[in-house]
Amino acid sequence: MHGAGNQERCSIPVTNPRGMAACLGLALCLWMPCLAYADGNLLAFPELGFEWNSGDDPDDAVFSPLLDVFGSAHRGRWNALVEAIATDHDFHIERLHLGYDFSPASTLRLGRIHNPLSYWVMQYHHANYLRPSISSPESARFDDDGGIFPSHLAGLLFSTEQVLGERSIDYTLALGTGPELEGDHDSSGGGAKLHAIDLFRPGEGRHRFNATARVALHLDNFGEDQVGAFVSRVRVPVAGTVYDAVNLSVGGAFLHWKRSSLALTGSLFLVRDVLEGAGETRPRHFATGYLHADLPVQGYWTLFGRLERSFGEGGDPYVGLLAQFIARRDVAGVRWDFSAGQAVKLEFSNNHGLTGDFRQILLNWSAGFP
Amino acid sequence: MRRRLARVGLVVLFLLVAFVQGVQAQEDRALVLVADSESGLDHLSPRQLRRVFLGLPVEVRGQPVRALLNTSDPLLNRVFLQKVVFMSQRRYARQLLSLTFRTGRRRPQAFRDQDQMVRTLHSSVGAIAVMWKRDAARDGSLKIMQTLWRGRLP
Repeated sequence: MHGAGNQERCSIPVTNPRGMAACLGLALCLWMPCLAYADGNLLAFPELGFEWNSGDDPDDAVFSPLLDVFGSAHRGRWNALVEAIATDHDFHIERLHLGYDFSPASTLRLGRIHNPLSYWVMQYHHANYLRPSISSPESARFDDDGGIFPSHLAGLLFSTEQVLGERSIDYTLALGTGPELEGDHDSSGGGAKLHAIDLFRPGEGRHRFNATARVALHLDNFGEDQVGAFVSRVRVPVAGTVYDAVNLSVGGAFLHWKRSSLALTGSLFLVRDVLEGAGETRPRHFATGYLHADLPVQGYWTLFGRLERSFGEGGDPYVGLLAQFIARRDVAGVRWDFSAGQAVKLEFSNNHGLTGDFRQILLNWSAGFP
Repeated sequence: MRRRLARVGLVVLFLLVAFVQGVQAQEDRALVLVADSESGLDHLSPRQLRRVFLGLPVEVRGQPVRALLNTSDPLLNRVFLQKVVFMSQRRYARQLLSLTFRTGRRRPQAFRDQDQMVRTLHSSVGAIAVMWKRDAARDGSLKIMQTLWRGRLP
């Protein structure tokens, strides 16, 4: 399985097929008492996906149910937020943090956070319904799913907004512990994976300091059109390979631009990585990025397409460790918002990965309640 | 000939009556922004107004402004979507859902019962909402901050 829609996680295994219902029940039981004392939100984003890759037998096509449960609560200037994901085989806490609002526009959060390195991740997190497409760009693939960038940190996230007349500027700073890179222990061919710190097993693995800063200029101060830049630095200990650690420095830019109905979203990542061990000390450089377009037509239909390209990744030993990395991908698809809060999406892609080329068909039903 | 003229006259008269009745059926309406009469809020710019109804933070003289959604009347809601937030109902709902999911911020609370919304307006500092002017003018405990739209509706 090549994994664009693959959601392999391993934090708290739920080995019975009724895990999703159990997890939803657990989330409700935990959250309801909180809502008695504070204003809150409880959202659910269920989805059912179908994935088929060229070269696979029809029997190998994958059906994958997923439930993303989100809760937030406020009391005075304090707030708490949790996002958890349940699939038919596991349950995972994606975000869990306590926050304090210094003002309506300035918030400090402490806990497990998403790395502001990726505009796509910060915009859609894990909710497929909110994404225009089914798959995410390769640069936004989550770390525990074989992604090349750390997407979860345990630490602080400070964000503030400065309104400048018709425009505004967002500043975001994340400081925390980054992931550990673990080799392909089970020899599944999936390659090494970045593993963020597990809040329930904080002593497991080695995790080092990770810092990310991001600035975004909102051109209309309504939070839609924006351009921005980011820098991130992290030292990632490596286990199960010939290397000891990798120092990752990432910088880049992103944009979201909407005119009439056409929306363009793009991001460019410039990466410098230095592997330590096995005689490697030389810094390597590569770049990866994407441009995504979506165009609503006929009311409830939206056409979308995405180009993803990478440069210089071929001889990079860090990228070589992450065997699932897809260097080039062309995506086209259609979304149908057939009722309020529900959508069906169909997506075709042509993928050029490190382990070979393949075509992929994804079909997905997703929803957002209430 | 006379009979034919009478028929044409009858048709013209019928059309005239239908036209006049159609015009009379249309009603002058105004959508206004309201707050509690004791509120220190007096006016919001169109940008501030759109921000607050999109769930984004807005402060006026250090006072956070909080939007309440009036969904008691489908016609009012349609005019609000077209003239205040400039979005379709589905896009607006998705936008609010996305904002809450990203930031954990509260979505503007929606009220199907206008009386309940008015009670919440009185009890929440910095709360604003939209109403038909005729309804707002009947309630002395409300302050009409500004007119957002005026026109004729069926």
